[in-house]
Amino acid sequence: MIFKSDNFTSPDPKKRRTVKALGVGVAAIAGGLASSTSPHAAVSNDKEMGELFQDHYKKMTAEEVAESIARLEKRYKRQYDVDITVGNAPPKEDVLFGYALNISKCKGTRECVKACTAENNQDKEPNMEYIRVLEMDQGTMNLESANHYYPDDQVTPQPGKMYLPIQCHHCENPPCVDACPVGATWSEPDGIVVVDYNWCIGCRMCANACPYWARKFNWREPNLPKEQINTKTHYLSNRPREKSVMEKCTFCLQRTREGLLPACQQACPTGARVFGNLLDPKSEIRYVLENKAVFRLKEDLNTQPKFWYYAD
Amino acid sequence: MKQIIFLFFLLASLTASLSAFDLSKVPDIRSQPENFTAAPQDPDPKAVMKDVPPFIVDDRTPHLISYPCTSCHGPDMIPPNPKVRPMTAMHEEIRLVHGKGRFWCTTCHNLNQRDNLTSFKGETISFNEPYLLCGQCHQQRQKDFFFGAHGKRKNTWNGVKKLTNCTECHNPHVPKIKPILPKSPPAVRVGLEPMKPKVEHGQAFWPSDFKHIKK
Repeated sequence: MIFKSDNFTSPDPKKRRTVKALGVGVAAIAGGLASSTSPHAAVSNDKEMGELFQDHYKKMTAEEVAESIARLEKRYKRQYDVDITVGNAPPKEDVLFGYALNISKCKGTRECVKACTAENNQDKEPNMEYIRVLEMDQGTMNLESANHYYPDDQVTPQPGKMYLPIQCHHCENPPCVDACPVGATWSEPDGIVVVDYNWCIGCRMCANACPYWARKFNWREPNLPKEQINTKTHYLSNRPREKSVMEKCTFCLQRTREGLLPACQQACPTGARVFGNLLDPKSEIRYVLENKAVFRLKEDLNTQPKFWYYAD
Repeated sequence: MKQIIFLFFLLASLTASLSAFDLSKVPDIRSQPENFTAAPQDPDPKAVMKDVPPFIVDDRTPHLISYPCTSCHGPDMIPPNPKVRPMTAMHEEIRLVHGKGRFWCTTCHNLNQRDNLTSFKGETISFNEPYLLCGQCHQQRQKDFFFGAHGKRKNTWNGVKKLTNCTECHNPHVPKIKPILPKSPPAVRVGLEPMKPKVEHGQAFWPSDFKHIKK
């Protein structure tokens, strides 16, 4: 496995093993103490011991990944009392995911936002949302003066307004990946920028680097009610996160790698969203790119997003 | 003088070009019909889908309230009446806000095969394939629908291509989609207030500009 980011330096495996052996003993005592004293012990400091010493996702062997997944499933069972399956589907061959959004069709109903939170196990109180829908005056494209908080007691579209949903654009040249000091985020071969939640140190450099406000941080332990959990998850996507890790849209990896469409596309009431394989010349996304006037946000930053907007 | 010379040349060239065509040799279609075929008026309404990648749609007939139509409009029942008239006994709830007054029921509904729709050419179109009917006027939308830029794909991005049917979203009698209430706005982080609309460049900014708002 080769890391895209140059600034990732792998730790010396020998040293790591020694630390691991030492740490198991120390952490066992610490963990025991924490679980007996902290009021949040049932949720927060309750990681499986092996999790503290597991390697980066891309450096783990298949057996280690399987062990890690078993650990996670065990922890989730203990934390949430729900059987959560953590998948590990690899990217498909000859697939590069792309998204197009028709801004003349988008009516700003925020259906995609809510479908996303139902699918991806985000913090539910207060709501963490990967998609934000911006309301702007027609004829303007000023993201800074756009309204994120237009009320839900007025029908949309309001006269004279246009709506622009923003989520992770899955850049081909992702600034967030370059910003990460530990290589916890990277671009997968199918074009999806993912986060290894167990490797993330919570420094939030990636959120600063992202020009699309796509990255969301768990400032506190996520509040994820048992009945709202989506039990079908993926290691790199929607498995429940913990405090102080960064998360983001993954184009619903757990769905799209199995051939399904993302939850936001399925929820859109106007059919404004087009998802597909950019390498397939017969796909819908390629038809849109070849036949419509498309643009990308902040193209001057050379991030090369795989998320296009078009109007017709 | 120049103009006269120019006209002379013009006339000469015209007569020369006309004499190049012997009109008697132009074949008459009506005199020898066996040698000609008329421009294709395809009896198959699916002819527009020749180059379209294959797709499937959900059936619409289970969702139609009074389908099958032949349960009232069958043979020996209510006779076909193409006359434009106000509906009194049945169907009075249908408001036709489509086509700016040019349409009547029988523009789209088949008068003779009641369980079907009809194209302008009189071809029979199923209720499950309304995209063939709508595409008669909305050609660009129809093309976008076939290739994926209009409507919505269901379930999978590869494999079987299942599309939403036109009438799943659009009421064909009132096709324009009504505004609806949006879902709730995002939560504001604890301790903060929702972002206030920013002052656009060129709008009032200095305090002196707000003098007229004094209480």
